[in-house]
Amino acid sequence: MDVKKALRKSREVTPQTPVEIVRGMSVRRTKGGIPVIKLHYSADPERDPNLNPAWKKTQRALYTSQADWDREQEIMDDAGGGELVFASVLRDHWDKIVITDMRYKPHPTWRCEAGFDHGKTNPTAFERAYVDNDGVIIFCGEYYMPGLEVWQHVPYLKKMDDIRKVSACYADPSIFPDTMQQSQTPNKVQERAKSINELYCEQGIELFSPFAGDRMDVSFAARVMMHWSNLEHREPTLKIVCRNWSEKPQPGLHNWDCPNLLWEMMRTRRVKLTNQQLLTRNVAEAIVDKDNHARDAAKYLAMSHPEPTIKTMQQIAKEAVAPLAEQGDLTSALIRYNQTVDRVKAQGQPARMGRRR
Amino acid sequence: MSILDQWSPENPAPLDLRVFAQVQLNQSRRLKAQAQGSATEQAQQLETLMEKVADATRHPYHWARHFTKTFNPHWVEEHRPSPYEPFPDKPYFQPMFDLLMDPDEPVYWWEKSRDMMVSWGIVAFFLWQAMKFPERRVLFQTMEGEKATELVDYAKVLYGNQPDWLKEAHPLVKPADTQAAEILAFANGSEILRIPSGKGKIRFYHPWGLFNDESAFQPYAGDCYNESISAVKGKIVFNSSANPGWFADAKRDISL
Repeated sequence: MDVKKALRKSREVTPQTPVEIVRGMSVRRTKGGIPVIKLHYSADPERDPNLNPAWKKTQRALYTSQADWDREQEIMDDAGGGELVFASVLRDHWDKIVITDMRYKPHPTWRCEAGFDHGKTNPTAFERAYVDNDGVIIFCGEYYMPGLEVWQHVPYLKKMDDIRKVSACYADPSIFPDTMQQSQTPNKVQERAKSINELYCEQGIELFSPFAGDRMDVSFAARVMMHWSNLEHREPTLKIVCRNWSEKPQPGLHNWDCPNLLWEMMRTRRVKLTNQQLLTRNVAEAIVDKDNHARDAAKYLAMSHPEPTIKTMQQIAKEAVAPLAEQGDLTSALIRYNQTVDRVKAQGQPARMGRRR
Repeated sequence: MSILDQWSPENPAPLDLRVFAQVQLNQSRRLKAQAQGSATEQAQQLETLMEKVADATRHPYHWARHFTKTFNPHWVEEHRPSPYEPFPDKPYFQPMFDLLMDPDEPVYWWEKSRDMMVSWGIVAFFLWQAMKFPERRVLFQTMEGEKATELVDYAKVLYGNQPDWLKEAHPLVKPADTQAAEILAFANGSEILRIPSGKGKIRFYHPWGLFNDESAFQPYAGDCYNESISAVKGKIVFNSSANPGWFADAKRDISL
């Protein structure tokens, strides 16, 4: 295609849509309208795999890793930044781990917990999750916003659905010390330093408690992989609701989805050591400290090891009588109901310790 | 009373004197005619040369392809006949230079596979601009000083491998090999200058063009780009092979 035409067409299509100029060469535009020209090796007839497949074969053989080849020749920016931690299992078991059903809503009786990570220029992330009766953690709702002040975040948090149902919200311990210097105006009483949590409290969000467990990313990764282990034969015990997945972050309030948590988890990588470092160290397990805001919030929640939601007596009884009620045997259903209630009540009674009389 | 005034048709000069005068007159007429002819010829030659220069530099790719040569340090290993060769005839070079020439696009971001000669192409475009247009200052910036010097070297190689008549048409302030490593200055006031990578380096200048090479490998490429927006009035080109970082995110609209 003629260059002028390609440039014009790239303005007409949606941002990030490539328009081919010649084989292997395309133009796309960013949201800001900047033209990005991609020049792939297939633009060179001597290297074009369709015309000369031998070039790629011989050149690929010279590279010692697929990641290096992908980065250097296939123009994949993220290739070779270290091993992806969650991406492969997420891709392989997407349908099991990611809930994409548009009608999905968590059960109203499930316990709701949350994790919070405050950022100033980095995003502030609030991840809300539900724990079902089997202990499955379902991340369903998030707030993710960079660059705002505490008072600007608060209205969004207050608008979040089920925020009043959150029974516990674990946050980064660093927001609790009184480190935020307040303004000191002449002729006014000097204000004492406050903690970030205190600033949230002043704005009406008295929700956060410091996370005191294991904060290591490596531990979190291991924990998540336990939730997702052996998925060929079982269901995952940690799920993420996301009906609006994108390959880039989507700042804002998402009442019933976690697209940013999923985006961050897909990008999570282990640290890559240089060849020189590998001479003296073992292969790194550490995780790259980047794009980890929603992930940190999720970490505080998941690493608090939330217990399954306990069914109420009425729920247990209701489940017990359901088959009888379906058959229309209401007398037996009533008897079963009373039996179940008595059994559940008895479970809560203290056991007698002493000699048999 | 002059000596010539004593002769008249009625009182003619002696024959030998008249013959001598006639010879002198003819000679003088002949020299005058010769001088006139030579000036016309020179003017014609100059005009032809100017047309030739204008034709050679009518488009940067035409000039780069036919009137200069790049340098290939691996020419022996690659079994090439010489280290100096013209730009190869690849199908992507013409569109590449056409894109750079588009006056409606002041900014370009390039992402490319390795070893595609994109840096050579962009250097050739900026060198062509500096030769053709007076007072064009172009900045080259890359990961570290030595690398950027190499880009200036590319420009010096391309300039030096032109025919003499093209070099004479676009003279330098002094021979390229006697200029400092980080500069190539032209007699028309244009110059190509290497600057270090990093924050605040472009602020000192108000160039026409900026070429930032291997942007994805520069920690402060984002700052350099934002600074260049107000400082550069002509063309801004950021070029890099793949690497995670600001350039990778900005290209894909990943910004927080």
